[in-house]
Amino acid sequence: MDSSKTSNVHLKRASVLLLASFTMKCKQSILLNSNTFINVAVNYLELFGSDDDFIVEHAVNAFESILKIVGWKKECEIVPELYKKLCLLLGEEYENVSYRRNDSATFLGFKNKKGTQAVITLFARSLIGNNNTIREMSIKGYRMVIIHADPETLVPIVYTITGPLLRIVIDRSYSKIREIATELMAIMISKLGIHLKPFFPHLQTALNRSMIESERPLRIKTAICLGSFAVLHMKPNSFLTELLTLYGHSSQNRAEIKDTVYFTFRMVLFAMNQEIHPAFLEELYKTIIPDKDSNVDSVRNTAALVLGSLCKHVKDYSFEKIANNHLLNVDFESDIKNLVFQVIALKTALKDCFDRFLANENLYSSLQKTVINYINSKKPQLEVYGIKCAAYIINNLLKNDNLPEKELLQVFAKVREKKR
Amino acid sequence: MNKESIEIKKAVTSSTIFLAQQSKRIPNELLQLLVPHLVNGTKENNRFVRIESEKALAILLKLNVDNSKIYQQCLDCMSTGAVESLQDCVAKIRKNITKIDFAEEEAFDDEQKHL
Repeated sequence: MDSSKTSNVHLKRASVLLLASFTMKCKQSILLNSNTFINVAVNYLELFGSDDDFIVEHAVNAFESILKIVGWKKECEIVPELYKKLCLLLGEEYENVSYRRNDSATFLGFKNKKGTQAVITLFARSLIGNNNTIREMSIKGYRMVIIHADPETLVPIVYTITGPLLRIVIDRSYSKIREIATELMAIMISKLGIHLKPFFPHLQTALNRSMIESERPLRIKTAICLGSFAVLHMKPNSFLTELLTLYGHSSQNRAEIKDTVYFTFRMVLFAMNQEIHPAFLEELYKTIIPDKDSNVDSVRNTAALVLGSLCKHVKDYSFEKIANNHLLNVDFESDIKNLVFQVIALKTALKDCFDRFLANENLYSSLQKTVINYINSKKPQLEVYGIKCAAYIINNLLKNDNLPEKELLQVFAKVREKKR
Repeated sequence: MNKESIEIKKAVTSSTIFLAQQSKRIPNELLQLLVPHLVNGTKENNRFVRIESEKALAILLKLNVDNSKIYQQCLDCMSTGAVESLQDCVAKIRKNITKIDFAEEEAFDDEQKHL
């Protein structure tokens, strides 16, 4: 095993071949004795990151032989050590200890299809079972492999890797594992996109259901996943209408889940560039506006995010209406909750669709004054959001090689001087 | 210094980092306004404000790069007094430059915090 770590290619190949031959011809009793099989299997993991096909092929064959010899009941025992080794190799956190990745480390990630598949298959099998600790390590290991694998590596094995994950997302099991699986689905959608098309119907159903589940962390992960999914959806209008209807008919206490549902709409609207039917946008607008006066901070603030998001998608006359009624022309004597709602909505609109303000001279002029007034408001919460609004304006202007107005720059930087 | 004041200073430093990471070009007008205030921030009593100001300055001026163009641009457009103050500050930051993560994307606008 020590020789297989050498940098000498010929020696390494010879060591791997010898080790693989030993493993494949080994008796079960020898491997199971003093858990030799765990050490050997974990040792092979490092070889999976090799760019030498000869080494990877023999390492994979030997790894799979070990699993076959020890049987599926015993193979779960490999998971904790394998997971720990992965954390070490990839510089991830293990038991609240963060490993700093060694820059000279030779593990370059999962670039070989066979090696990736071998590890994922083990983790996938370990997801089934009653031991939640092993299951949690397996799903975290799964996530690490996916994150550190090239998309080109994952595409040929997309069915192998997606099926088990989707079962977890659908299955009403241990919620911590569902959370991680949902988060991982979002990563896979970003990496594999349209290659996941065969899974879309099941995925949509599963995510829609998770959106109204009682576990809050799961709902938040689902919101992020739905944002990634929305971009790929072939029928965005029916997808959005279904979400809104689902929320309306939800048997859960609507107040409890409102903020995460609004966050879901925020994620989806932010991600989508497809045209959305005005009727849906109008319906969503009517849904969120009453919550401008909600007593619950999270509901009010997430409703503000959605209002800001709408600005990217509505027609020009609706955009002007929203901007004038809710984003600009601020009455600084009104209740702070109302002001915070407005500034969050404004910040969101600037993030998503600054160009729309720039294209309208009146709105743009009003925008500058509003942001400057927020920063000069002497209300710290508004000042903070005002600074962020200014940052979005400055950033967008610089992107188009435009110089921001001097007054805005002075106010943006002047805040520090005033507070010293 | 109260908590709200620190929040405002944090907003400015994180906004600066956001602009530095997103923008290809930072105009002289912005450097002339921001840099002196960040330099003053590195001399604040509050440790958090000092560290954040150093980080913002380091990332804005790309102090991890040899012969940073933007740092030179800044030196060229500022007054003599401000330049001296900046050079002293940069020398101090460079001693601890390895502690700054230049690759980390600034969590400038974390919308999840509204939940």
